Amino acid sequence: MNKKIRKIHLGKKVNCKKSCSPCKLLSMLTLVLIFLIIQISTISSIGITPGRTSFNYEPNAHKEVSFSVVNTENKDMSVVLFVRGVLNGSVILNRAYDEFSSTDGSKSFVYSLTMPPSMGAPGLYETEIVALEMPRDLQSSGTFVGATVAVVTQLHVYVPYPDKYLEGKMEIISDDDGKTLFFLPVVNRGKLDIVSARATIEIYTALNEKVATVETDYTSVNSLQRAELIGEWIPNVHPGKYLAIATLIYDNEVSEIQKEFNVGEALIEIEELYVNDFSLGEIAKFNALVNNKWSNPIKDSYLNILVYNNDGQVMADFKSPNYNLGALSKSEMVAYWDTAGVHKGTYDGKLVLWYGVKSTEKNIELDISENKIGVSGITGRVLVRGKSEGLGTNTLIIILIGVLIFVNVIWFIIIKKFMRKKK
Amino acid sequence: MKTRRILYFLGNSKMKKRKIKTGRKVLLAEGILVMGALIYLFVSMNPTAISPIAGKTIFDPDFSFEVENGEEVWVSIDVVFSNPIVLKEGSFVDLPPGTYYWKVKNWLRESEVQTFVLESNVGLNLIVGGEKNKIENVGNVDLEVTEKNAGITSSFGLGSGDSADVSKDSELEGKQNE
Repeated sequence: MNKKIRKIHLGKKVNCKKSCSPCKLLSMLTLVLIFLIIQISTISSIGITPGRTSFNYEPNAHKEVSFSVVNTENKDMSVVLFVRGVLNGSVILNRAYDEFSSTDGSKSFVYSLTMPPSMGAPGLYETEIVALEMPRDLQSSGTFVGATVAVVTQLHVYVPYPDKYLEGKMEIISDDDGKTLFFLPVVNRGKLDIVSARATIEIYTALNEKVATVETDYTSVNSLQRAELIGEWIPNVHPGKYLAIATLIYDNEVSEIQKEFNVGEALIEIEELYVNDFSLGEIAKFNALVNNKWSNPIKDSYLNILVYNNDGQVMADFKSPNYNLGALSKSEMVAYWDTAGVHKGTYDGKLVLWYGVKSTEKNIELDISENKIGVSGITGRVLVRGKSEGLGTNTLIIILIGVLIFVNVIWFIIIKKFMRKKK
Repeated sequence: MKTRRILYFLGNSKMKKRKIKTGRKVLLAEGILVMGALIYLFVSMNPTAISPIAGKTIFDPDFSFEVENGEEVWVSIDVVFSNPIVLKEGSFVDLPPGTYYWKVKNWLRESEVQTFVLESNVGLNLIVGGEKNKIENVGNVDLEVTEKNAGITSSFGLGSGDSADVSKDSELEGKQNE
């Protein structure tokens, strides 16, 4: 987003010898525009890594943890750090303030933790180290008024449960072949070992229909140790949003984890684009038939058509209203173009279908005549990304060896036949 | 006449022997050439995992695998690749923070197994402008964002790569959600 904003250019320069009122108005407008652009492109940004550090509680244990504050936008800034939370008094930061210049990508910090001799009930004790972004001249100016951004690196200390306690989360990864992997990193937060842990993952559609059940392997998880349960699923369903409900079953105990995930990508195809009842010089109505192959509705989708003149410049740029597309259904979108001043001929164009932050693009050709606009280029185009290298050295060598072997085999056969004849 | 025939026969057999010797030499040369080419192929087609280098910790939400002579990149959470994620050129995959093992494969061979750590990165971008400000999650984990404005505190979830509108002059704070 910020990159796009940075690319905004002001309009053409207007040269004027006299100080005329339209010029004054123009310069005023330009100033307002510059001011607005400066306002829009103001960015506060900060990062911190790692997002979380976890320890099991050990009385009086001393730990040193390093973390980095990231200058995401490579700019001048100050960072104020402070600690809050349950173990606030047990955490000491090596420094609570630092200044970043635009060349500082990140800076390392360290905090030390001395665990108290005793802690309360079993469970999680959270402490947070907050990094707050401030303007570079904070120390000289002393105060700051305005929006602020802060990021947190968490310190989690777990006091073990006296029995068995399995804690887990679910990560869902899909690869190109459509295979979906359910990773369940689990930690035994209890003092007793878990002999057998497994998970059953049930997958539901947005309409709460169960489409699959995936079982993971069994594993044992020793006290305070971590293990991974993995389930694999080859989806045979429409692309869309699904809900995975994992039931962790361990030594007669049960717990549940839920996570939403996507199968495939939101995909809309433009199947047809046509103009009916057209007269040159009047408003042309472009009808587009779009197919939503996503199993969820898609909101605020619109069509953008660009028409280029013979010099490759954009001579028309028009959009359709926003449409809400139903799940797994075809819809018609309409965009209007005022063709006043447009001449007969063939023009290149581009058809862009926007849905969310995604878009589908097609190069089109418009054949404009007195009472017809013919659109071509909508169907049958497949774009293959990636480089085509031609024949590499290794391929040539393989071909050469193949040819050599073939020639030799033929040669031997001919020689043998020849020898037999001679005999 | 007899002597002539004998001489001719002797000459013919010498020619044959020479031809056989030349044939053997050609065959030997070809054999050496083929062997050399095969050795070259075996060495030059060795798939190599270039980046991320072994043991590297990655904080960036976007990173790419660099390989040589590879057709597939296999990524796994265990060293035996029991449930690998298979990636090809141009593939995209969202990996959660953790330790990963990876190797490169082609039709003939596979590279050595490398490991990298994907560290959680909490990152926020605030874009000021218009009627409302916009907050973006530029890290690699889902966040819980707390917004404080005019004495009111609210919080909302923000997935990695997602953005949301926020009020002007808000105090915003992001922390790892799960």
